[in-house]
Amino acid sequence: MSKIHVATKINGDTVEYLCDPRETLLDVLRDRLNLTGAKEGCGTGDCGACSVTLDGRLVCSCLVLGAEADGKEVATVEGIADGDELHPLQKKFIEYAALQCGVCTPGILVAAKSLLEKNPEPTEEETRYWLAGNLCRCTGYDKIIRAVLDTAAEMREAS
Amino acid sequence: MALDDQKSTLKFVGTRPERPDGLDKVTGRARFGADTTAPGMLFGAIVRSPHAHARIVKIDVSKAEAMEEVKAVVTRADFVNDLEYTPGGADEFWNVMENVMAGDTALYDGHAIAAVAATSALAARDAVKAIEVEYEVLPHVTDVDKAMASDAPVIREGAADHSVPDGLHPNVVRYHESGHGDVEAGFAEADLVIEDHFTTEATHQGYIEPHACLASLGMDGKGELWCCTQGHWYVQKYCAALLGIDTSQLRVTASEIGGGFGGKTTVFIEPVALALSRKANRPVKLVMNRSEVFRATGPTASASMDIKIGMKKDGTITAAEGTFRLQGGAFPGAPCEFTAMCAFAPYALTNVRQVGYDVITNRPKQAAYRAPGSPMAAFAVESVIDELCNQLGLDPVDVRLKNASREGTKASYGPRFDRIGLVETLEAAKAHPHYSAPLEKGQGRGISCGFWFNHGGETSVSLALSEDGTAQISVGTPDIGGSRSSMALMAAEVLGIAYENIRVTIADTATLGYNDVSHGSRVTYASGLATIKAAEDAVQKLCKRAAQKWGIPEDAVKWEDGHAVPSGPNAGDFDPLPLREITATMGSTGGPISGHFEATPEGAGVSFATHIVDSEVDPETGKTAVTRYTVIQDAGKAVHPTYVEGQFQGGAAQGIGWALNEEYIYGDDGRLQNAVFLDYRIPVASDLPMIDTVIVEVPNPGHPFGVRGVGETSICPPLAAIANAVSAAAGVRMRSLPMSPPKILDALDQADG
Amino acid sequence: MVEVEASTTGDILKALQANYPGLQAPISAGVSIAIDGRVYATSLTEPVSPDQEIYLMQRLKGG
Repeated sequence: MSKIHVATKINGDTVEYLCDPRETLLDVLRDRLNLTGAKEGCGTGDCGACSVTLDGRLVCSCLVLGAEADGKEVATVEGIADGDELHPLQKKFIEYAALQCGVCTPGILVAAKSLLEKNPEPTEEETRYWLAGNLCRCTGYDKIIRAVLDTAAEMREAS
Repeated sequence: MALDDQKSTLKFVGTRPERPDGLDKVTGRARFGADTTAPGMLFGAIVRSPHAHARIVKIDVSKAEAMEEVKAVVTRADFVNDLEYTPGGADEFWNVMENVMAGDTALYDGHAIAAVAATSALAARDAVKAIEVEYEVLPHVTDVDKAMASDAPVIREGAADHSVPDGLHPNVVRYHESGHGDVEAGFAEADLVIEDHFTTEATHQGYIEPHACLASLGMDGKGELWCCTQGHWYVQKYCAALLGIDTSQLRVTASEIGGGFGGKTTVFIEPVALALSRKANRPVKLVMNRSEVFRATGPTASASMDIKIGMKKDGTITAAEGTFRLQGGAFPGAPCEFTAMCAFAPYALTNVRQVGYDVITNRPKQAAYRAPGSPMAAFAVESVIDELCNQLGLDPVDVRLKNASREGTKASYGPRFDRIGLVETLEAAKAHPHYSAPLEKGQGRGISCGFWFNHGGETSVSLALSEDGTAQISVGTPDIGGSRSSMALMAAEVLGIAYENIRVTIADTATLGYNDVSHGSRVTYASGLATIKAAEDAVQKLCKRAAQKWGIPEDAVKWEDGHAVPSGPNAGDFDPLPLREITATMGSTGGPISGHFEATPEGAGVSFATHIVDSEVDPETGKTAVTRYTVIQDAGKAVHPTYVEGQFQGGAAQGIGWALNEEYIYGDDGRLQNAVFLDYRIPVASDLPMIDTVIVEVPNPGHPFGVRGVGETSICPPLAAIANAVSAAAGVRMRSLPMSPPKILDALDQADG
Repeated sequence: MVEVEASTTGDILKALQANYPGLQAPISAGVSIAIDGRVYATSLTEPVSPDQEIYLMQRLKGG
């Protein structure tokens, strides 16, 4: 089967690749571009470990074809920090121990960042429902929710 | 081992520094099982049985082998064929081999039949479809009670070991019986005896990272394996045995692990990837998809249980008896002895008897899941105690306090308890504002105690000091809960240098001697103890160098807060010598300074918890919700309290899933019907409240700092505590988990009569 | 309650297997030993003395 040429932007960098029409964006990120921050936890869009944004929209990259990224902008966990400056969410997740094994963390950070961009003052309930698509099996979510809410408060204060 | 030197004032242990793997994990650069590559790497995929029980008549691999992208196909013939079969679980090699790749019979839906390695993941998937397997379908059974019935199909003749009494179905493969006193006499003394039947379904650990590995094995018998595992020495040992190579020729490196909870304490795909690599003569990456994880890894046992407890009007338990039937898939190993031994452990009982059955069925081989066997026992026992309290009008915490096991109590499973903290957790529960908070209409409150043994296990730790006065530590237990941080804290305590100046690495199998798996809540206890001893070994050498420098006897030097100092006024007058000054010249004063310790530490100390839960039930839909949750557990000494809280909260959340939603659903055809996260629904953020924690610290006499393992006990009380809360809210006793909406509606219907 | 001559946990198991053939299979399958309440999961070298309470259990492991 012949491959498809795709030109896209990932975390601000121009990237070109060839992919099989059946390959997902997640496959391309991980296996072709060595961006292994996004994880495959289910491959069916249920766990959110592969969360990325596509033109600013939060998606499960396992449900997007690699070919669909053509002409679009993709943002992954690898692009959240600004050089050596961590995003406030990243700092807060470390401070709060809002991660244990850390395999869901990339997806949760991408999703939480997307939440705070849309809603800088989410309630606990809004945060819980926004992150309901990101499974975490280690933490019981308590410290994750607290970290996101505290980041939101801090970012509001700073702005 | 003398462990009476408990430290009373701790400077580092008990603080909450940031974890050393934090930065890697928030930036996406932490490397998990599937996050690595090798030059020339192939991708593997596995052919799996669609049948619950079938004889494998023929495997035709010719079409797959003919595909240009396919570089190797393996079946059972590519593994060793001389493993000895022994009944029961005594020799696990045969059982694990049979589970990793079927021999002549497929034993469950998802059982591996063959595997391929190809140049891309897609090509491997295509090749799997091109392999033709001819099956002769056999009768199957997946339910524990049905598997014990006389008409049940026999899964493997002669699988029962010495423990099984005559007259039981051949599917009963192990038996446990223990207790003391006279239960019949005890029941006769009771004012009220309640006898009831309970069931729990199999659940999955639900770690978010599927099993993944990268294997490289040459025809010279030398191999490298990278994998996500809770124990890479176990992986090394089992892979070597299954592939017929020398253990020491296979180097296994543990990746970051994306959750395990007991499910990554064995091997599934690792031997297959090595076999493919040997045949293709190229590295092979093999990663499970989620459906494979559900169908073909190791869920918990399911259970069918009968409990009978007698109580006096004042709350004294006069006798307790339990029968626990556990289904653990097509192989021996369901933790029936743990279920039985944990069941009544929280209580000081004169008359107690417990019986466990390990039953095989056509399901995947069960694996450990956080305190394996204990949560289901607690569900059954604590439900009956709750009902006794209700009917006798007694406070459930008071009754538990009245009967609680203490230091010196003869445990239900035999020996006397050392210092334990159950009473302290119950007293903390009683004093907690949650316990006295008013409930809203339609809500119910439940409590439960829980017990787990904890474990020691083979442990080896090395510590090396650097010239600049910093330390590197190699431990052999994969970090599944922040242990690198805890090890650094304990080493800092002994060495007297800053936490930040210590780096802890999970060493590969070539670097240390055998380390038991990260299981049994043993890491902070056993690797922690070994880390402390390794640091003390290094300190002794540091003191020796100081003694040499000062020209005084070695025993005239002691270690204080990171410095060698003269041990007393008679030893001489010397300025304290900081660690970094000793290490700066160590090359010319006797060579590098390292510390090492290895042992099988015994004295892990058992652990207890008490949980308080509020829940509500929607009588229209049968939907339940947990509205408030408090975990109270004895940690002995919390090394990093934040991570202890994390273990408490995580265990509670998994327990909530087990109690309310999660279950393996098999169809009449013996196939698993819900092998995706959409249908096997683990708790999501919007399902849960905040989970409050209280850390009780009753020091474990078996650890220098008093540490007890905390990882597992947190999943023991939730099933019962939630069942008691939901039963109170619904006004009807719930006897079957999960308490899914259809079951709640059924129970409400029946109660309405 | 049984009586055997032994100075370590391993000796106890050896003596039990020699004196009580019925215990051979369960002991080979793996046992843990509690000495005065402290559970020794695997160790065969722990010293024991006549005044201690010794208790045998099926081998402990964990998740």
